[in-house]
Amino acid sequence: MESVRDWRERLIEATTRPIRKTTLAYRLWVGFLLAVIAWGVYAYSLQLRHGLVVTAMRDRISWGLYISSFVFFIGISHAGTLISAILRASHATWRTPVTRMAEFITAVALVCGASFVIIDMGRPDRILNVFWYGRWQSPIMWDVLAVSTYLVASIIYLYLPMVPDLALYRDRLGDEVGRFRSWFYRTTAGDWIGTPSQWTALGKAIAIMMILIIPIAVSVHTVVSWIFGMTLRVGWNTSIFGVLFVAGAIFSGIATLIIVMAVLRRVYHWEEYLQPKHFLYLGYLLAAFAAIMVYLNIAEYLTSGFKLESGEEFAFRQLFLAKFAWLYWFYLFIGMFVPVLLMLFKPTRKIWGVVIAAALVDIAMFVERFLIVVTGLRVPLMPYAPSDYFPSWVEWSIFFGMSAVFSLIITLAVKLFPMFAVWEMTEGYALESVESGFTEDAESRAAALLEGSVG
Amino acid sequence: MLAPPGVALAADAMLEVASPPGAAIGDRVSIAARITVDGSPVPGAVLVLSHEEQFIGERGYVEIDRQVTGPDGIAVFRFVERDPDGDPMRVTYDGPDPEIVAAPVDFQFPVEPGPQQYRSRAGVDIPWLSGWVLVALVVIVWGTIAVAAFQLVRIARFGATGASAPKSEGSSTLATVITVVVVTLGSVIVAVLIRSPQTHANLGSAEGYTRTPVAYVDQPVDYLGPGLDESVVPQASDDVAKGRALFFAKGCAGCHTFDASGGIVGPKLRARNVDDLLRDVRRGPGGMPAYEETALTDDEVGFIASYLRAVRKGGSSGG
Repeated sequence: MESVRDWRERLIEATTRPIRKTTLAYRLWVGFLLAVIAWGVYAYSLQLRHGLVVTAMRDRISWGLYISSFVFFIGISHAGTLISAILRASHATWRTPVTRMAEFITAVALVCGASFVIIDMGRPDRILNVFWYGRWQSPIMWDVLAVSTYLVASIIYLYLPMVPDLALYRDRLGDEVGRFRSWFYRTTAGDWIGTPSQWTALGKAIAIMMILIIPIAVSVHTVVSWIFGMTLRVGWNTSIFGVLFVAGAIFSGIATLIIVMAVLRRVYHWEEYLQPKHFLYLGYLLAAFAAIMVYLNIAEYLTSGFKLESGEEFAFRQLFLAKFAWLYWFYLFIGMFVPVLLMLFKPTRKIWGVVIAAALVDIAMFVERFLIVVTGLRVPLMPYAPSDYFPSWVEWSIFFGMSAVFSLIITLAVKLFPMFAVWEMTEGYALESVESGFTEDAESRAAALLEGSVG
Repeated sequence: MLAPPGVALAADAMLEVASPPGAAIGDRVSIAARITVDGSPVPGAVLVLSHEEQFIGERGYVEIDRQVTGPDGIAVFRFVERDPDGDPMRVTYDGPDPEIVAAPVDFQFPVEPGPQQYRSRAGVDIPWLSGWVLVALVVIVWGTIAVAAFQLVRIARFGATGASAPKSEGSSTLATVITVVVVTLGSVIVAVLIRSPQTHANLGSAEGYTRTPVAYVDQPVDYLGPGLDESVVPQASDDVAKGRALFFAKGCAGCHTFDASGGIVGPKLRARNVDDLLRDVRRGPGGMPAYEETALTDDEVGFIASYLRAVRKGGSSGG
């Protein structure tokens, strides 16, 4: 077995790879994303000038793609919480190579998701009224409260375990990466030199945030579900929404993490660290959550469908038989059953199988958000003909623009931040080598551990 | 019947209120209020009737009606009594002359119980379950985040006093900034929560809000056409300004958009002569409501025609 020190050196080399080399493909990709974003900005400028009439939203169906996207992005932000906090709390050591990416997805997805609420506003200049006139009796206020708390908490939770790695970058990369990044590492690493008292303080901070962020994350998507669940509308008037949204959030969060991992693994040749087992474990989690989602669907629709209170029949027909049937059955069979099958059989239990499952899950979960928003609003409250909704090109443009913002921030972050938790992975490798009876010089092992960041 | 329950003097204005000695649920109640300056009545003054109400632990005055005084300086408020408690009421002066300062008049009269089809109090009150529980929860969560953020400051401090290590110039600035941001944001959120019952639109100052008038099931309401609530058309200005105010107040802008350039519902309006416009307004072509003389007088249509001509000449910015 390789010595801890050598292993760590190779890991540092792999982690800093994106920072030391910028390929033409990278520049083209950034250019493409910027073009999509520019198009989205143009679409939004039209919306600002002419108002929400440029969207397909009208009086009867007054929420659409924007609110679906809000729910979806807030949902995938749960990746960081589950992978990082829950697995850290349960001492699952295999998690270490994927935590950093998961935490990044959380912070970035939250920023993008929250933006959709502002995009959905006809008068975004009135956003501060939420603070001047907002009252805690309103579920919208609960959203503001929960999302802002989660955003701050997850940024801190992203930053804390990164401090030793930023210090490593500060010491290793020095001035060779240009003045901005050199200054950035000096500032963000603070005075981290890896003394025992610093490790103690860091451990304490991480432990606090790890525990705290789990209930915050659960509250966030529960509260997001309550902007629907607190409304007296057929299809939304159910207590299962909190659970369904939290489960769906973690579900789509894992899927997004798998896709980001697969992309970065291929682009930066991180095969050694992002191993098949990481994809498989996440794939199993994905399959487990697919089963939970199927269960929740049955629980919800059987209890309300068995009784069919007034108005429910219309909701049922449009979801299962009529207008939205193809979307719903796609969501249930392609988005839930196929991923389980892919994980069930050995020939597909490969990285490509997991990635396909993840892509299907992300699409299906987006469809689910769309169905919840639109079918709920489509049920007529009075005897009028149900109206229809299909997003306008402005809505699509803004949606793709914001998705490009999400990708762009992740793309740029790879160039600036350590995407692996070097110190946690080194710790894991050291423990592994002790367990496997590897008898390297004990002192050098301890030194590598204690040394932490200082290269 | 006429028992002035309160007389308020401020500067030289006097506000008097005459209320019934008592009422029963379901009665039609009239309350008269008069405003005078140096004993002479003030016509065209806006008087507001409000009613003390409890709302989630807060007491405040909820506006229930506003009326403009006639030539005798008197405004009459009419409403159907629905409040079994007979809570305190108040009449205040609300413009338009900023020179006139009149103290509000508070009064109260007993209300006999009677049959009514709804209860005025809704919901289940669980004594300990209030907004303070939420405030406590938020304080705990944000306090904990602050404790974690403070560890960053400690880390920086340990580094600064650390021995042989390479010294960096980053120091504890960022850590301090993060901690301060967390504490500030947390405090702002707590402040919003604590303040939130008082920010309800029906409590306190009505600044920035336009309320929808309340109508009761058995109460006839005059049809004034679709329009802005409580619109006041300026009296002494030119025809174009009056036309513009009417264009908003009577709801034309609702379909034809602010500068009459046409929207989803109403088409773009050309400059018209008065007769053409009058014919269309009275007839209501293409799904537009027909405005009767009671909703829009011939003179008013003339002002609107002036406004349209001005807009088409580019003489007004529209909205």
